[in-house]
Amino acid sequence: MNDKETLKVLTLHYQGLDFLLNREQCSTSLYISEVRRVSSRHLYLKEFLVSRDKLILLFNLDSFLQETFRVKSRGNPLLALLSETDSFNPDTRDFLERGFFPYLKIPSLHSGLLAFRITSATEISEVPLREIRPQPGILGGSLEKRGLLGVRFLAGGGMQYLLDLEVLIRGRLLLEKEKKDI
Amino acid sequence: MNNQEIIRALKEKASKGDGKKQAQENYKKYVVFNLSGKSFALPAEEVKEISFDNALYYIPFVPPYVRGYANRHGQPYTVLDLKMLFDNEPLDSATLLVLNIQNDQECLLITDVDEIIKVPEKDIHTLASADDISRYFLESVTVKEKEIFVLNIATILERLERDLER
Repeated sequence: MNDKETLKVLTLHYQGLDFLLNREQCSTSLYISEVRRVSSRHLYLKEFLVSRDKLILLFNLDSFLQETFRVKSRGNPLLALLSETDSFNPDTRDFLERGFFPYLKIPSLHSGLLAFRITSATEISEVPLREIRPQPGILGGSLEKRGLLGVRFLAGGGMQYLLDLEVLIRGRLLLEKEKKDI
Repeated sequence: MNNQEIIRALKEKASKGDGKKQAQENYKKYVVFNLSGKSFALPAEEVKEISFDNALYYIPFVPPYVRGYANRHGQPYTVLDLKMLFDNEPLDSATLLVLNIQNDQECLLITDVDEIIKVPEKDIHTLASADDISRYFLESVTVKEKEIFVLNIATILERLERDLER
């Protein structure tokens, strides 16, 4: 690793903690205008983003982060982050295409995009890679499997988690049907 | 003093020195710390540093006795709360005993450090009981007529590993 190497990220700000998402997993973000709500047993999947004549799955990443990390919002969840499934690795694409999309039985589903509802307190930035620390020993492996890749401590206090959006999907964390004791 | 006497005197001195060394080896050093009114000890070589006024950052998907991460020189250290593990009650403190563990970064949330002591071997006792709680202790030491339990960090980490796999 080059000492000057940086990672382009989206920083999602919350009270007490921030979250970093790798920009390579995010193709664009937009203000949410039209959504279609559905009755669903999934805690964080109850909406579709309407884009022309197609429906895009809209995961509520904002709620997931607030509930999982016990943080409070610093903005309003008015933004949608779009990810192209083509940018995901084959395991994740296979899970979506064979293990998830067919069961939704929605003909107008846009299977090439996923959307994530995020806080408006979001900014694009670059982070020196050396400042992101792997998580220690016993905990590290376990948390990596749940999409928590590393942490970064800020000079003025505060901590940031680097999250892997793909693992949150593939590991079904955003597809939970009931609240777990976390 | 002839040469024979000199050699005898040197040998005597050397053997006395050995005795002194032997006596030193019969002592073990411990860090005694307080956990909400109860005293516990750790072998001194297992403690790296004591740190005060630490902010803790929440970690999801872990058992409740993992209280969060602490920032030690820019590195994340896992903070274990033994009061939560033993008594199911969280300890209200920001003082940490940073542990010296190979390939891991762990610390214990404690109320305070009481003292660092040297204990003669005769005052170190093995534990007879093998119940659920006593497996977290290596031995006990007698300090000022008080029995203090010495933590077995390895078994606490084994418990954490098992809990994370669930």
